[in-house]
Amino acid sequence: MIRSSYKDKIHPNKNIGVFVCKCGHNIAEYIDVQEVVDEVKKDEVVKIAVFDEHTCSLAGQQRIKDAIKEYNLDAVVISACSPKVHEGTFQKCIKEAGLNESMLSISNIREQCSWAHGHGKKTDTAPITEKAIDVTKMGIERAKYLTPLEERFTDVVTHAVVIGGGIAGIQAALDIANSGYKVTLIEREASIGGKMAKFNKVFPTNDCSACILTPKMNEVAENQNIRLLTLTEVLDFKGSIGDFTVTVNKKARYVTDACTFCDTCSQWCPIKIPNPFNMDMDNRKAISRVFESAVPARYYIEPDYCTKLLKDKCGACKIKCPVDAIDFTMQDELEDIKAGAVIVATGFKAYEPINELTHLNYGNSKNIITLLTSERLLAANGCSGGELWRPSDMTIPNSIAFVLCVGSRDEQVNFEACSRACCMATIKNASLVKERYPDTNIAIFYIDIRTFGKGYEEAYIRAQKLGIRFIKAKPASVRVKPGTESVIVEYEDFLTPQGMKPVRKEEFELAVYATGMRPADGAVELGHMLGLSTDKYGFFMEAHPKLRPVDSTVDGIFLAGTCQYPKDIPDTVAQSSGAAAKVINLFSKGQIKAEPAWAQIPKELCSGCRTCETVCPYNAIHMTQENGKMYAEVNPNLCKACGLCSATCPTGIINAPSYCDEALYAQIQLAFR
Amino acid sequence: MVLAEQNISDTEKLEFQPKILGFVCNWCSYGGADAAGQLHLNYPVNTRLIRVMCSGRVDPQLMIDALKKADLVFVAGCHLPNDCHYKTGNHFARTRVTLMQSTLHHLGINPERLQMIFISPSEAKEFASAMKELTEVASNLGPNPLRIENENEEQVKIL
Repeated sequence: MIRSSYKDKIHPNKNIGVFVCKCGHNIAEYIDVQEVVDEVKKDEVVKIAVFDEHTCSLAGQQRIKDAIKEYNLDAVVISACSPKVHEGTFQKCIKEAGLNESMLSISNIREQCSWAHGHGKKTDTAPITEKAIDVTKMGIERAKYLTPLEERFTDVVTHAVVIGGGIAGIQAALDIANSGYKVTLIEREASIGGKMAKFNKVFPTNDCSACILTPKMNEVAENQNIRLLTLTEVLDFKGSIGDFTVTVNKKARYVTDACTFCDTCSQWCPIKIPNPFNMDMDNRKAISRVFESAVPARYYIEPDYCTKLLKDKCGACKIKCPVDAIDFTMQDELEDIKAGAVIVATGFKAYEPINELTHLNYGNSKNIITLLTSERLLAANGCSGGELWRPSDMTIPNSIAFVLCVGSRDEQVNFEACSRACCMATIKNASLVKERYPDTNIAIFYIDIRTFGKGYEEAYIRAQKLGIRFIKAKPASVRVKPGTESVIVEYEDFLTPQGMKPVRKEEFELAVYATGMRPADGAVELGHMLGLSTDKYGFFMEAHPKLRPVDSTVDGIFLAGTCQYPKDIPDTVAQSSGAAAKVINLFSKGQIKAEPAWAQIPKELCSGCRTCETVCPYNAIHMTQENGKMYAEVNPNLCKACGLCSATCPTGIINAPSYCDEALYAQIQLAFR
Repeated sequence: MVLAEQNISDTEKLEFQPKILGFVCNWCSYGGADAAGQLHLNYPVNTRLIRVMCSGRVDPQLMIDALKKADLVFVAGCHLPNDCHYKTGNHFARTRVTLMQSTLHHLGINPERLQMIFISPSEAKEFASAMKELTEVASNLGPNPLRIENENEEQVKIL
């Protein structure tokens, strides 16, 4: 740590080339690149300093390659956009010119300079150019101390794990399996299918959701390359790209695969519990199936309710089962699964305005329901025979109010985002009811109608022609009419014609709230386990919002579906196939480049104090003995080059390549002119 | 020589352009800084950032070295407790900054000249606000005596 020697050390690299980029006008608008080039040339170690329109272009890259050969450069400095954008591009470029990939230093004069400080024509550009010069000089200092690092490769385990068995996980698993690689699909419920299994019809085609989903679910069950683990949750996660270890808990189902799905057990079970598949609107038994097309096609027992499991009473299901498929002795089982890549497809949770948006009185009437509940009511396999009835008295309503954007686009609940699918889902459900019962008074209260997709605008036009009232208003309140279970909506109609009263009160027999999407329960915790970044809403962050929408911020982990951001089914399926393609790409190479840098500990200088061993987060440092002396040794396959040991070593002898003490100290010296 | 913070007048404060030097971790805070630029969120041009792989890389010696060149130094890392890309580095950074702040206090240097901030890659606004806030803190503190002393020593060496 305290090492005066690094301040005087002579730098190894003496022929440095500096390439400054104008990036069109992105950089050139606020930075005088000519001045940057002129200033840095003054350092005699800089043998060539030039600027280009676009250094990353083929012409720009050729210029770098030519300069490496002509000036016998030992290190290259690029002063341009963030290294996170083009580090790979320039590493490949210098490698092609015969230079070691690690002899590259990139200074950020775009994202962290011109873009952050420029603000139009009135900007004083002199300090910004001064900063660009300082930052470029810092990059040159770093380049002086770079050392060539040997490329290392590790084998990729060509087995993928997909976490989440909704349509996103199902599609991704099928794509990977059909390419010949093995997949383990992990789902925490007793059946795959996710939210899509709950929908009645899907927009804009009004296909029956279960009818298009179940063939895919069956494909998963039959595909030889897919191992399906249901009632399974991820407990722990280790490793890095190509070599992950996913520790899962496979919960006991208490029903073997001899089960023929005959339903005898369920009929004899005396324990009734609310059925979450139908949003608790009806009951099921302690032994039951999730829904009639469940995959795997086996019943399961809820251990929190089954009296046989809790207090050894009953067991009727086992006695009555015609194929003896029930086994109360089953136990939860832990398993470590090795995987080369992971796809996270944990889906979403429907928002419910509980203790929030109290002016909407959600929970104060049985006839105020969410969009997802309306899906279950309209579904043929729901508890109402496919009728969107009033849950309070099971009658068909004469009037329905659909309220959009409940809990979305709303600063009050800290969710400014749009949940993307609710406009279409609401229009679909409203249209289905209006076609069936044309006399129903249906009103959709909206801020905007977002029918952006293929066939969506046409569905919106059709809905208007059916006579559905679209009212541009965010209801000020939805109150329960005393003595009834109807609601009174108070609203101000933004499109009221001149001369008419804009503020209205209207009674409806049923209210459906288009509550938006939130990350699924447990998603944020899973993200922590995997090391994923989340945005402020808890959705998983993609590596780059434009160019890398399926990569997560962790190499080897990909994202699919609504866990990354609210979206509809076509976008989900597309993203899943995209994630699968990335996995297949990774597997087809068989190997990936490992981190070339690893901590260097010169054994003759090590005092054997073991401080580094204690702090290494990856247990990559172990003590070894030679000639009676104990010293620290780094395992290059475990070391991630974080530099923690380097900062901690009391003798200051540990070298963190590319970010060594010398380089950091030199950068500090030149930070300000 | 006894170092002590000098009180500067308000007019001097207005003219004074502080130098802010920051160590940013590659994964979270560097990403946040990039995000701020992508959204063209403006912050003062007084800042210079040094990229490290992990905030845990920054040892106290480097913090002192930086304080000899800048008026305010900060270490930026991933959020506590679990976000560090290397699991524990940000904890070490936090502890080291706290200890160094205490040491600075004993040296007669205002400990506010050394700060620890936490930025995630999606926190563009927070990064820009932090830079603005730190620049303002540095402006109010005035020139750093450690930096001035170092500059004087270097002048002496040249002479």
